[in-house]
Amino acid sequence: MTDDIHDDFETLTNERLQSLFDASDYVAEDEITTTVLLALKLGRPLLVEGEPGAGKTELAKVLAEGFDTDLIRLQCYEGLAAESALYEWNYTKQLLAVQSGRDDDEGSVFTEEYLLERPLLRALRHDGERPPVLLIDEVDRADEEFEALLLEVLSDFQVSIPELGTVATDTTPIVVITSNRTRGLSDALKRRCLYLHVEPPSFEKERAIVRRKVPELDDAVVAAVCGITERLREESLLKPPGVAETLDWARALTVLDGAPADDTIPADDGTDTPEDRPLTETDIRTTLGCLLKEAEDVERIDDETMSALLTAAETARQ
Amino acid sequence: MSPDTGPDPEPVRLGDGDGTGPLTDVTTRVRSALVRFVGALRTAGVEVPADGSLVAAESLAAVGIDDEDRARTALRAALVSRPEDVETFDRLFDRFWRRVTEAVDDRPGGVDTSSFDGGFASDAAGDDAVADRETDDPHESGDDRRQSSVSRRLGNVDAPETDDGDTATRARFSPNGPSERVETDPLGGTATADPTPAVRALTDAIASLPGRRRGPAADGLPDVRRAMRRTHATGGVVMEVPQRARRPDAVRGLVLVDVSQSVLDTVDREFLVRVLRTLTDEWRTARTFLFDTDVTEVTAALRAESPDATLREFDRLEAAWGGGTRIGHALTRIRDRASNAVDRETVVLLVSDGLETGDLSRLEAGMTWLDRRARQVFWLNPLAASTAYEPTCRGMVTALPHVDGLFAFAEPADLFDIARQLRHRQRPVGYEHDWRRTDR
Repeated sequence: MTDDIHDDFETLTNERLQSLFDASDYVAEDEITTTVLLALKLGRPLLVEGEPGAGKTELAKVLAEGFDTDLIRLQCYEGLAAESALYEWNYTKQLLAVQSGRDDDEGSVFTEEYLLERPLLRALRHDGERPPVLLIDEVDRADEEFEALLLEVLSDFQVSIPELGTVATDTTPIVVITSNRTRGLSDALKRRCLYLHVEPPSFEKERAIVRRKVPELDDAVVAAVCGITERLREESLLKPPGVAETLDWARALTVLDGAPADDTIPADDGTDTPEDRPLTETDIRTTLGCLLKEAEDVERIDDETMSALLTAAETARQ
Repeated sequence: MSPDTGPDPEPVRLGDGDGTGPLTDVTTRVRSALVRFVGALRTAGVEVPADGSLVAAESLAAVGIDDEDRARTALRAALVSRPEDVETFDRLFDRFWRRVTEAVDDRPGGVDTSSFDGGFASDAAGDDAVADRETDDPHESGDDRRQSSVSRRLGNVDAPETDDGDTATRARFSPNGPSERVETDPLGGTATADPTPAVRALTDAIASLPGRRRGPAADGLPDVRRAMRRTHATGGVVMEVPQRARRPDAVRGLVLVDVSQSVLDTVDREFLVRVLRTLTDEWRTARTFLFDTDVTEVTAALRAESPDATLREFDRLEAAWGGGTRIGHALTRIRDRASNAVDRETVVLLVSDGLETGDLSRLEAGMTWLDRRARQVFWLNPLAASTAYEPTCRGMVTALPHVDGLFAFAEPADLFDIARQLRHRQRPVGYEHDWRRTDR
């Protein structure tokens, strides 16, 4: 079966991959599709960098969903150690075994029975029909020592457990590593990966994403939403909104759609449906928390900026 | 699934309908272009992984070369690991892709390479490419084979390219050691801007630089000797203090041109030849030497009636193009065999990227000699045309203390800018103050 799926990768085409993304409502440009295709064909890990909220993690999820396989996720953080990423021994069970004298029967408490698999080992020992997608998320948050640990795994897709021996994989997992570039990664790690930098989406791409993900929102409102976030990104904000924030905001507007935040806005000629009416300042103010996650950023939106946002929304609608 | 880590990546797929002839030649040339592309990226400061060439070749083999965008994306994924390198990658990729396109277009029967700076055989693989081209392609007609085997001429506008039977081409290059034959294209086919006005501006600027000779001046230093002489007529009383200053002079020059492959990759050869010819015309005296791993004086050839005649003269002189850079060796040879080419009136223009492959102590000694002996030494570096350029390579670090100015050299605008900078004598000069960086 391993060969089957790998054969699948060999014959996989851009178009097939694109349709897979489409089916998962993941809007991917040619650049993303080609790079992912290449990573699959060459069997190399894919290092995805980009601003937070650009869809890096989503890419791994979509691949797992598209190939109908497991997603094994390792969320990195400062201080992440081998026992949390790779494996550890079930000390409690070992202790109990020793106390109860079971170890005499088994000969050792360092056997499979006492082994707790962590994400990296789980990916290597995956026994599913298809290789799993291993998502190593936000690797830049982890220490450099952890990167060194990753090197062995990513080079040979094997891990040495002193008490058990070397665990090698039969099915090379699809590895997606994401980084927010809060620090540079080591050359050794980068060398083992194919690199993909996810650019902030263009207006059109973001619009397509919001349309796909929040289909209940009216097209004109989607355009206004994307126009406003695009304009917001031009401001010098501490944390500019990513696509994830745009989607959150769009969903928030959908939820609020039934109960307009600004009751004072009259329908000009009585024909405007709630979907048709333009976004108002009150709408934006009350939902700004979805877009901006820093208090200073929210304060930065003064009347002048708000006016610019409304203009951008109106322009986008047209 | 595991990547092929052998020395030879899979042959690049050329798409449907391309399998009519042997692809070895094209594949080798594409591979050669790729290796050079990776080298150029590294030179430009892009952080390319150590095995970047291999991964890039695998990537290219995986996506094929039918679609430029896909090839660009594939190579970017393999070779770039920092967002800030993307711009440099894209810029250099265009050149790489042109070579790939030429390699594909230049398949059996076709010798119609259109780029003046074409030629893939700058490295070892490239040498293979030429060999393959000359021997392995059964689809070439006899004439074509002869055309290929006579190596590409540096240019011949007047004579037809395919049937003149000219076997005298001597355009050669290799990264080091023995030169190899290469192909080049006629000069006339490209639309290079005429560099004459730029060279004239540069000449005027250099001529206006103070020379070593001094003469009467209104705003110079006191001329004590003359003042003393005049006191004889006034009984020892100093009536006035004449002044003197260094005089502008006609330009006498020495032009040293690095024609190693790394330079020819970045500078248009037609532009180079035209600039050299114009310098020879405009300056009072100008001796020009081409060097890569060897040195050849081409002053007489540059006085030929046309650029193509110049190239024919180069041809006759067996001037070699495209080897490695051995600046120190070249300077030593000039010092030993043509030391009169430099004197205290001489302005030296050294066109090179500074990627010295020879002995650095020799380069240091040669530059010290030039610096001490010549009036001014200006270094024109094609790589400095990139705004990201910093002279950090070993050769440039060694040479820089002995240079009066390091400038970019890629197009006529650079020469205009050198002239502009030289005219403003009080201001600092150099590539870091040029039009690309200061937007003047």
